[in-house]
Amino acid sequence: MQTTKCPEVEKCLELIHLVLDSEASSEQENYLTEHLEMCIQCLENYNIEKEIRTALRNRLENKKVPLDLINTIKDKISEIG
Amino acid sequence: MEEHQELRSENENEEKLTKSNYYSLTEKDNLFNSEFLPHIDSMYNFAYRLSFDDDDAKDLVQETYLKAYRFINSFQQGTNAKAWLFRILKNSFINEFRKKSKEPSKVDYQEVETFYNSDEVDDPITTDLRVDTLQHMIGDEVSTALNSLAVDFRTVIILCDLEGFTYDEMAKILDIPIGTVRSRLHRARNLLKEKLTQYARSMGYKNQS
Repeated sequence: MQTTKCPEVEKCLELIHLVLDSEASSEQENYLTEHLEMCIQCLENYNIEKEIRTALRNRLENKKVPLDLINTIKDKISEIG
Repeated sequence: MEEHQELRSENENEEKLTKSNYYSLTEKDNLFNSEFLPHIDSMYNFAYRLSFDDDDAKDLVQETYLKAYRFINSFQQGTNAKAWLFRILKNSFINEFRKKSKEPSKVDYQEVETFYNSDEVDDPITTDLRVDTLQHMIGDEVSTALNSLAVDFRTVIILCDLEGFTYDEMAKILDIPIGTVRSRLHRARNLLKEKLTQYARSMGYKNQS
């Protein structure tokens, strides 16, 4: 296990983003999976990035659409015809 | 590709309309109700996260839906309605709302652009942000961090992480090349991480283990 600094940490971070965003090719994904087995620094980055996405997705409060908005829109549209 | 052209035609509407589909009144209403209206929750929240104002968000959503209806003939059935609507909303925001919003986004944006284009970008900025710290953060803290980002950075994170658009869809919504989507997202995420780190420090989260 490599515990020192990853020489390519910034490149790896870009790759982590691609993989977590489901935008990576299967080669890129395989490369990262292998790399994460070797590199603690990048594994930590990976876990942090993953957790940030989870937090954004699950913990932000959504606002309720004002009740009258849909009706206002529909009324205006029937005016346009 | 086809979809991209459909999306584009929103701006060049009149001239492109001649090439588009013509829906009957019933078809229009069906499309509107089944393809457009179901996205109103996402649209309203996107509008609110851009403008931080209830009335502005309402106006933006209403304007977007009216435009969508008026130019419905340039919408190709079967293509991504949500992306089309988001693109209209984003354009409305830029054209009309951004000017009057309180956001000093230009200044912020240039500052961070310069910073992130500099060589210092390789410095690890997250050394003391930890997974368990993040797990302890509540929605308000995450939301404060997100809202503190300049609008262009905030937007890519909303589109990607909250709404699940692909890079390709984001490129179309934002009218930027896919490479720019990638780099802007990368910067946005670094900035967000930095905000979260600052926040964690100020709350004394780092003492937890």
